[in-house]
Amino acid sequence: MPILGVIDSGKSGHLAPAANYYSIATQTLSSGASSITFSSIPQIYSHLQLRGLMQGTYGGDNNGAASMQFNGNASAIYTRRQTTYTNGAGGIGGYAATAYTYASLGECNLIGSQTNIFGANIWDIYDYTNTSKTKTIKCTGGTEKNGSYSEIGIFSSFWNSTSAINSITIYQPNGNLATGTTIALYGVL
Amino acid sequence: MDTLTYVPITNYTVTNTTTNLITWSSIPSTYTDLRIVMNLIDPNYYSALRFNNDSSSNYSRTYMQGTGSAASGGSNTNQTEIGTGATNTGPEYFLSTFDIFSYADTSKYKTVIQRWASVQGAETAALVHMWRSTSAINTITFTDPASTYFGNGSTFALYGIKAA
Repeated sequence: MPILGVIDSGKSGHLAPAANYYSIATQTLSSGASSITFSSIPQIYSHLQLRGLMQGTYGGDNNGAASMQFNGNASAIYTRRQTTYTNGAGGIGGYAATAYTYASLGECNLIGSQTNIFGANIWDIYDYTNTSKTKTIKCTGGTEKNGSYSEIGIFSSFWNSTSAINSITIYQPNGNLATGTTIALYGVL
Repeated sequence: MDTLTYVPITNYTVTNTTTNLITWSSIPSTYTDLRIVMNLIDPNYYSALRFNNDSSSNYSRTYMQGTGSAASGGSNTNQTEIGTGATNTGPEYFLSTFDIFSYADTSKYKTVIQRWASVQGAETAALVHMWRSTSAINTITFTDPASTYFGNGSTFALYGIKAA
């Protein structure tokens, strides 16, 4: 247990050790790439969580969607729903679409002059090994830029397949992922 | 071999009615992300946090919130702190999580995803914050800028998540 300086007499006791959250793999890009893929995902967990920072090379200091495909499937069997607030570009609003060829959920900062800014996302994939259920994914993501096109959103997608998920590919449809993009995969027992 | 993570680092429980400053210092840089879980009883409605004691105008945030009957959003630029509070005035029971990404990465500005729910305000919200600094975060400070105090029983917990 790390020793921390805590002012004003800290008390302990309400922290329970987390004994069910495992790091599986991480990928960090040292140069631009079209996608990040996690393959041979262990089938021993109840749920998966991905956490990551994304930046895309398609320029303009704007935002792009983080996109995801499972098991290499690019059929039009994905749906998407989202509620977002975008500073200076439409305010709060929702969007839904069906028959997508990928899950679209999350924030990818499109690099312009903002080389130090990345879109941050937490994705949860439920019952990914259950072959009697289609797969649902939710995400909370945001890109903060201290100005226009800062965006926060909650997202969900649906993959109309009962296959167990054994690989996940993350990409940005308009261009490459930039250097420094990092995504980590975790399993929840 | 997958690695067990999501590790409790430290926590704090307010046991009086005179606390308006909590500091976690010497945060180890060995994790990938940090997560704060806060259950705040606030007699005022507004609290804030800072990184590495930086009180310059290096913070910004964008938020959206809903009450069940209305949704709204907004942004605040060039702030001197991360405002964590709800919009309700008066006593607040305020539940919140903060995910701080790549907090030790010196090539990136720091981004925080916050989710909160306010009992009195009957609101829920999602927020993204940025601290425009590439410094590794080693200190986190909670304050009550309105010069009131955190309510007795408020809890703050810090966890580390380490990627493989």
